[in-house]
Amino acid sequence: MQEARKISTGIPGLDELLYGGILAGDSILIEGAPGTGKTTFGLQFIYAGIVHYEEPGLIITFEQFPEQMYRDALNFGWDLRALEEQNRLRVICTSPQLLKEELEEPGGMFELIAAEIGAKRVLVDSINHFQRITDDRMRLRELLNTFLNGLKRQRLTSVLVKELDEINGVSIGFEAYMVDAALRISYETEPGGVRRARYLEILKTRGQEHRSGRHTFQFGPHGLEVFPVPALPTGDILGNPLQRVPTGIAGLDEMLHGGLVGGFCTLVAGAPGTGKTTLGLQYLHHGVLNDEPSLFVSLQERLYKIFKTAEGYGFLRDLVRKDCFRALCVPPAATNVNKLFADIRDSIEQMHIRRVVIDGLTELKTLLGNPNLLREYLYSLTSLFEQHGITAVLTHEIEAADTAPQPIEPELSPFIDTIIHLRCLEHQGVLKRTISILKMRTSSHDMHVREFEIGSSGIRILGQFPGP
Amino acid sequence: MTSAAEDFFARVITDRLKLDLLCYFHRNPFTIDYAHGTAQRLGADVQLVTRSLEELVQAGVLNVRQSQFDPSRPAVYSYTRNPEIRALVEEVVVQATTEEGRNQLLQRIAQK
Repeated sequence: MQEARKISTGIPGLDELLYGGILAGDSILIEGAPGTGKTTFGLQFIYAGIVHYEEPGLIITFEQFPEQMYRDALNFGWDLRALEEQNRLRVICTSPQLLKEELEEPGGMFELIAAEIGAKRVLVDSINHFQRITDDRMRLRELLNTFLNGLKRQRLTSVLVKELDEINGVSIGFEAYMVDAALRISYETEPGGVRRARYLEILKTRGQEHRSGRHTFQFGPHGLEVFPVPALPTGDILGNPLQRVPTGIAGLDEMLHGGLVGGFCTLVAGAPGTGKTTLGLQYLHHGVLNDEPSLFVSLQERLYKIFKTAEGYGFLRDLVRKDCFRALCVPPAATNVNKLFADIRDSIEQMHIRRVVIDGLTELKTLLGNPNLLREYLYSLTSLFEQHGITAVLTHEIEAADTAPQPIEPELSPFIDTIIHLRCLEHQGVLKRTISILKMRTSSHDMHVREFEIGSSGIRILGQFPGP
Repeated sequence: MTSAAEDFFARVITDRLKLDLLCYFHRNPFTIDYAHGTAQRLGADVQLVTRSLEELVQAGVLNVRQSQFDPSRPAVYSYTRNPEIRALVEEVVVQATTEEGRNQLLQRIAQK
């Protein structure tokens, strides 16, 4: 028996959730409250089908005027009028009663129009308008069933828009049972309650697998883009695990008995101003000098500040000159954590990254809000690093303390293999910078607290800290 | 407008509702609907819309279709595919796009 063919939805990120796309000829319900992006979703499905996959399309609108759709689509660069002139699209403005009757009638106008352009995809916006024909629930269900069968008879892959009555309700309409795939989109307050974010969830797919979870999506200049919840990577582990990776700070490498452990994740914890970012930049600088592609991810500073800091230590010239350094600077106010994960993964795959610094974990915790989400996110992130043989450093801001505190919550400890603790301690009336290693998986390490200084070329480890 | 478009306008567009219908079908060229649905879209009286639609059919601007299987169903209206008529309509619609142009057209209708 021939396997059903999958087609791309044309929405970046969504096909990944559907393991390649939607089955050709299926019906997809997209439901959401006003302003969530349902119509844009449908327009993109149609536009991408025509332009990228040679699948002409029909748009059937019961309420919105086609001229409004032409205008709105142009905001994303989608010239629907031009596609109509090329006989690859028809935007049909009609009544639900007429659509139903014409679909039921052999040789009806919709069949003729679909045949005229060779339509393969259809958008119906929205199916709530079938309630104009009848408000009897059973009759409505029967009517939708006939309608869906009419679309299938014409071998059309359809997106059916449905407006949700309740925003936070849990009601499930009968439509979700009848279609082949059901998606729900929403626009909700993010964890922390300051901004709103867009979410997409696949409620069901018939005859094919999908990835569960509440995935984020955004409107970009070319339409919607979905950013899947990070998933565990599959495939073989690259690189040479457990090999030592020098930090470029000679004294620290001695404390680590040879350097960081390859493929492992190190936490650099300390109060503000203790030198965490400097340590991270110095680590990447050393990598770049040895032609190891390196990635710096800043969740707190803007790019120019990072470059200014790097310039202060004489790192910038090497970082810029060599073609193996990338900085992703995402201020917390503009961060979509799933997009961030996708950007990190893309950088890793494009540049074959060997060293990563994420500055820092504190901001990531705030963005994710929920400790369970943070744990899942870190698990996916560290697994990604492990798979690619990347030796990663995460900075983490903690409160200043004279004694060595627990720098990370116990539930996050499994993801961290090495912990380096930076402090400013008072000694005979003078503040001294100190460094110590609290934990190092698979290796012995220096147990002393050592002094360090930050000079014109970065961090330099000094002797043992004599104590307060 | 060209003289052909002027003639077309003088002959066909005898009231404001017809001008609205002309603009509506031209701007949404693949509209296929009953008089009832069209009236809803325009926010106009169904009977008046039905009469105007029929007159636009007579003028060749719209096509009308009756179900072969169920004659009791209402007539279905759609925009003509005739490029010559569409070109004439285009000229009128372009003028009606600006407020000033539309007012001029409405004045001419009022003078009829």
